[in-house]
Amino acid sequence: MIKFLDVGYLINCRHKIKQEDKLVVTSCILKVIRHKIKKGLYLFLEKFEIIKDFVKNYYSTISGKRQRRSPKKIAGEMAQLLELKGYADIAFLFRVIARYYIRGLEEHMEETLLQLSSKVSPINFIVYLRNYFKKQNNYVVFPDKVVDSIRKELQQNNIEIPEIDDRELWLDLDSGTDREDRYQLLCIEKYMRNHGIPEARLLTTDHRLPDIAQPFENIKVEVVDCQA
Amino acid sequence: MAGEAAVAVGLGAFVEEYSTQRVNELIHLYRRLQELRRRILQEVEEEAGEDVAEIASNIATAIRRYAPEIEEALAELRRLGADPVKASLESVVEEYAEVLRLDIPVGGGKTLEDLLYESRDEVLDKLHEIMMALFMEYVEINETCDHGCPPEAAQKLEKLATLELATYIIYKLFQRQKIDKKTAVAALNEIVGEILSG
Repeated sequence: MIKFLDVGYLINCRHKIKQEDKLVVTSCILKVIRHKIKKGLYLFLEKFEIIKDFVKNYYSTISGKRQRRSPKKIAGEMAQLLELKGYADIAFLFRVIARYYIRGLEEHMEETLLQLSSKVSPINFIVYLRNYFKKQNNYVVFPDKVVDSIRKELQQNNIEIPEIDDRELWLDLDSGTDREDRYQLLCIEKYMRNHGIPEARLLTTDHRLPDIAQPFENIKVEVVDCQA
Repeated sequence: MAGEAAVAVGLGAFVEEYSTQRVNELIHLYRRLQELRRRILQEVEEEAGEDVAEIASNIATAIRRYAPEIEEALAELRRLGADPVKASLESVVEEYAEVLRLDIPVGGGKTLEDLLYESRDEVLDKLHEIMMALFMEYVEINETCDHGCPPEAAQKLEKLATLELATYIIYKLFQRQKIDKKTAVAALNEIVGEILSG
């Protein structure tokens, strides 16, 4: 059966995405990722001083915690920390940085930050990131770079990325916390209708999604835990 | 060539004056440039207010005033076969890298990293941001200037050199309590923005 991936699965379960499955990621998913990165980035720059204080507190509490580590490892820890502190939007930005190779950022980091040492200090990493986003207004193009990088990786794994004409889909939705989830479901439903697919699976990491997807009877939601 | 003069005295100004104190390692001509830099800093500092644009403008004026003396030192360096801009760039990248490894001792058995985590000092935080921003820019320009600096890069270097000198002046004004912490943080924040603005 054809399997669709949602945003959470795409980011959290990157290591589980296998070429042998018939997997589909609609263009709507990439659009949601772009939207979320843009929001996370804006909040990261706006709340930078608060986030820097989180970093200072977190890495100062236990002796030895301040050890240097890879930027990916720090980004992963930051995502968890920010999630706990209630900054889910900024956590998403860090989770994507932790999981995916973002072209532009990775090369720049290699040429500058990682020249200081192969493992970096968390305080340097956070300041570096802020400067990178502010540098020549990089924050404007970064969401597109993220989407391009993810798209490229999906293509390399032979995952289909169909373009969905979503003009009415987003506009028709009421606002609400599950707006993005319903939008993803509507996109999948439209693709299935256009291609005569009677039934499909949607892989997600979101435990609320089965409830949200109830009206979509022909989409079976499978919740997968990939955080570990 | 006011641009080259600015680069000669400005590049690495902050990191050298603030932290590494490499004066004893410098050869005679670099010492002379450092001496000129100190005179410029002193002059500008004496008449400085708290406005970054005004400080930058005063720095540019002072550099123009000292340009013949700076140019003399640069000419001598060239005669010895050195490319002053390239040499300044390579050295400044190394100096910032050294400081940004954060393990330099700052007294009391503490390192710069200890201070950044523990001191909750907003001025130090801003100086750290500035050092990282300058390091990022210098690394990039150093690559561009591998075989001589294109005009755009040379212009950017001149700007960064002035901003480095301005950083040092703001820091000194704060240390001497001529400006308060809030003013210093605001001015340093403006400098980070300027460094990264392109």
